[in-house]
Amino acid sequence: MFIHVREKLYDGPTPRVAIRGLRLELAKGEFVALVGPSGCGKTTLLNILAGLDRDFDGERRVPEARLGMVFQNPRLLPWRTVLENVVLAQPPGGGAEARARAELAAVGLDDALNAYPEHLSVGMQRRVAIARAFSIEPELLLMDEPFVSLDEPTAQRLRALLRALLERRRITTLFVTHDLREAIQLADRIVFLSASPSSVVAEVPVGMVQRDDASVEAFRLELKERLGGVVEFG
Amino acid sequence: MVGTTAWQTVAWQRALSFLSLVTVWQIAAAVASSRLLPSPWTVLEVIIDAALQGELFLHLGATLARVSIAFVLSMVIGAAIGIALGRSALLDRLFDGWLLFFLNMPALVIIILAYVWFGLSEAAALLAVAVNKIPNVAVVMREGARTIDRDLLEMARVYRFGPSRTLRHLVLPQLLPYFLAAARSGLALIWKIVLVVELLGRSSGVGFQLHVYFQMFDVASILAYALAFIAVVAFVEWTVFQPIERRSRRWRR
Repeated sequence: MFIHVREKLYDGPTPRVAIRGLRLELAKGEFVALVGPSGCGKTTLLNILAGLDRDFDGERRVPEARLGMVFQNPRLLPWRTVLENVVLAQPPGGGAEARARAELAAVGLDDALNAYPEHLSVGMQRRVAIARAFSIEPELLLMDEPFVSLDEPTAQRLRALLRALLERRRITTLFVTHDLREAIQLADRIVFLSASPSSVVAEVPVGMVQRDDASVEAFRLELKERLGGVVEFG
Repeated sequence: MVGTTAWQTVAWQRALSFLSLVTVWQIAAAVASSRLLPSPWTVLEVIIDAALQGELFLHLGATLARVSIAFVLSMVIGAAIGIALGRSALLDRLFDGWLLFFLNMPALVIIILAYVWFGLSEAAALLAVAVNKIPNVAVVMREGARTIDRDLLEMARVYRFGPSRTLRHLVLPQLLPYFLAAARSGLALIWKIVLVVELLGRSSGVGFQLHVYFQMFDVASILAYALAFIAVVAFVEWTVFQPIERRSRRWRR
C-alpha cells in the first residue's frame, strides 16, 4: 500500500490545507500505527485511502477490492441482525454465510448471531465491526480509532483480540489512534503526524518482543525523551 | 384491580371511549328525535339490511378497488419522486415549486379537470385521486430521504454493497417509518377523495350511493355507508399497518 498526498484541501466554510506532502508506504503484512494530535487530518487520510474521498492531489495505490475498514463508530445497520450485517459485506459468490459465521465465532459472538446491534453492548458492536472487516479477507485493513471512548478494560480486551486475529493471518494494517500506549502495544512501526496541515514528522519501529504494561510504559517514556522536540504528545 | 395487566387496562379504556361515543350519539338522537339524526341502532339495522341485499358489498367493493389502485399508484410514484428530490439538491431546486403547486391545488379542481379533459372514465377517476395524493407522499418521503445516514452510506461504499444492496438494506429500511406514515395518512385521505370522484362521475361505489341517498335525504343510509367504510379502513389498519409497524420496530432498543 502506498499513498502520497501532495495536497488535500479541507472543504469547509473557510478552505484550508488539511494535508501537505504526506508520503506513507506499508510493507505487506505490516502493522503501522498513525499517531497525531486530534484534528490533524487522520480521518481525512483514511477516507482518501478507503476511496471515499477522491478529491486530492497525489498518488494512491490500494487493493480496492479487498479493503476492510473499521470506523470510529461501528457503523452497523441497526435493522439487520449481527449475522446479516457481516454477510452483507461479503463480495458476491458462495460461502458468504459460512465466512461470516466463522469470523463472528472468532470474535466470540457465536451466541449473538441473531441479535440486533442496538441490543448489544458497545464493546460487542465493535467486535461485530471487526468481524465484518476480517470476514472479507482483506489485503488492507484500515482502522480509525476503533477503540476510542471505550472503558479501559473493554479496550484492552479488544486490543488483545485484534492482536490474536492478526497473529492468525498477517494483514497489512493502518491503525489510526491518538493514544501512544495503544500504538506501542499493537504496531510494528509508529508514524507520527504533525498538526494540520499534516505530514509525517517521525517514524519509529517498535522492536519489542514483550508488550506487557511495564515495557510499553518504558518505551513510551523513551519515545517522549527522543521525540519531545518534534512530536506533540497528548 | 388485582391481576389486571397493562394491556387489559388499555383495552378497557378503548372500549369505554368507543361506548361513550355511541352514548353521546344515542342521546343526541333521542333529543332531536328526527329522521335526519337516526340513532346508532337504526343505522346498524340499515347496514345489516344493505349487507343482506348484497348492495353494501357491491358498492363497498367498487370503492375499495378504486382506493387500492389509487393507493398503490400514489405510494409508488410519490415515493420515487420524493426519494429523487431528497437525494438530489438539483432536482429539489427544479421541482420544489411544482410540488408546492400540486400540494395546494384543491382536490375538487383536479377531479373536475380530469373528468373534463379525459371524460367520465374509470382511468380519469383513478388519475384524479392519484394526482391528489402523490404530492403528499412525495413531501413525506423527501423528508425521509434527506435523513439517510451518510456514515452508513460510506460504510456501504467501502464494503462494495452496490446499488441494489444499498437500496434494499440501507435506504429502504431507513425510509420505512416515513413510508408507513405516508401510507396511513394516505389511506384516510384517498378514500375520502375517491368518494368525491364517485359522487361526481361514477355510477358505483360508496360515493355514488351517498349521492343517491343525499337526494332522498336518507341520513340513516348515508351514515350506514360511512360507518361500513370506516370499519374497513380500521380493519386494514389493525391487520396490515400495525403488524408491519411492530415488525419494523423490533430492532430498536
